[in-house]
Amino acid sequence: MANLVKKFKDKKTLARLENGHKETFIKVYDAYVSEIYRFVYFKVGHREEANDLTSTIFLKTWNHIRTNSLESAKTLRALLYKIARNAIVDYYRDAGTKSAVTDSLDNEAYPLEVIDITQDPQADMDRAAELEVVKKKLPLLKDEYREVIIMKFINDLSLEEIAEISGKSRGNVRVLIHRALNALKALVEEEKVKL
Amino acid sequence: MTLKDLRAGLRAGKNIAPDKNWLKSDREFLLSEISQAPENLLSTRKNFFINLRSLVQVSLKPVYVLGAFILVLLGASLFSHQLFINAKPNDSLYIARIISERAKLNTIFNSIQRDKLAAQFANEHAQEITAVLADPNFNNEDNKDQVAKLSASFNSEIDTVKDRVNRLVKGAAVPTATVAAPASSVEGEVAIAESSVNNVGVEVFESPAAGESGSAGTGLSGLSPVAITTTNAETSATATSPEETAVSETATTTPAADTEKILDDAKKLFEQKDYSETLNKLKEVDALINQDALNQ
Repeated sequence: MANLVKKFKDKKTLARLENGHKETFIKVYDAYVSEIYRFVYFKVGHREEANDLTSTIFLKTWNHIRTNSLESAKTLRALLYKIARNAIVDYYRDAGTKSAVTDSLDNEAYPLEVIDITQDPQADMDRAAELEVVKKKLPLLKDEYREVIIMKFINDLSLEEIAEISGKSRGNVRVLIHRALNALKALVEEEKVKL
Repeated sequence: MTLKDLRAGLRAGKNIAPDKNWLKSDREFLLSEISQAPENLLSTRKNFFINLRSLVQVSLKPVYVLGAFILVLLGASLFSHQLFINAKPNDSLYIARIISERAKLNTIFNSIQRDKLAAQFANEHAQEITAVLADPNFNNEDNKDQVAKLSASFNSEIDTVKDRVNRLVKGAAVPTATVAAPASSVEGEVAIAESSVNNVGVEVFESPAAGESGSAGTGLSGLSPVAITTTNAETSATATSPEETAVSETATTTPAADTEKILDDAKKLFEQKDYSETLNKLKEVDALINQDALNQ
């Protein structure tokens, strides 16, 4: 039932956006900006670029809504991710590099903040350590693998949504996630052996 | 590192968020950008259509449509009878009532209950036809054809009541027959008992009745540990005395005979156009149908 209500709200938002309703767009921005930012950040690896790209993505989305029909868009989330993917592709093309992320997700000038949720210092330390490992190894994955891992495990997208965004079948996405996770695990274990 | 740890590490990535200052400035920038576009306010009517369209889009999935269809079907079969209960035989809605009654009958799986309800429905129809024909405003030369049709319907309804009452009586008689059946139909009864003589295994024994009739095999007791008791059909049938049978038959057939007689009387009275008496007779039938004796 909750899922049905969520879908109804999503369709309603899409219909309102189709009518160029500005307030609805701002609400969409507030709801999705962090998620899209995370997606971009893990794809490009730099905070500054992630900021610029996120801003561009929402502007592009606004322009897309005003100039195109949203009939084909199944969900608003999928639409935002599709625009984000295209924006990242454009970014790489303009920068003249195939993949900007080659070493690590962030540099030391911008350490990532881990928001304290549990108020448990030990748990926070563990989480920070785990995140460090992921941050270090995620850029080494194939672009396709990295993308599904970000969408599935970091941003909690459903298989249907990932399939809609990537243009693959649900089964293909499931296989891709499995392979990506194993590839990441292999990279992390390889690192441990070296140590 | 296990996959679980890896997933936990990835989940920690959820805590990455954009800088608050940047977020604030970007929101303002976006607001200024979109404010350049012409204002597009949604009217109440448009809002309503948006909501309706969204609802249709979400609910137009085979599973929801099927669920709604089943719900409507069930609701119609269970409650439509109440909706059309006041429809009279000369009304256009009467056919809807008949259909809803049939639907209701089809949802009842207990045959006795179904027969009882069908008899009640048919009796009600007969009563309503009688009531309609008793009205001089309707029963005149102008409605000659309709009166003829209703008269034919009355006869068929009376036949239905008779048929259902007979089925009810037969249905009620079945349990009595099945109680007697094992003794009368089963040729032999196998019983296993521990030997009380030597406490080793079981022995084969014959009932005296079977021994008299000579139908059971002899000489098995020494060979097999299984005890066999054979009951002769004729012998066991004598357990019920003819008086008892007669009494039970009278008890089960009396309501049916009564009902049939009253229905025949009602039919005659109807032909004689004595509608008030016909109604009285049909009400008697109604009372009989509801009597427990008819159903047990």
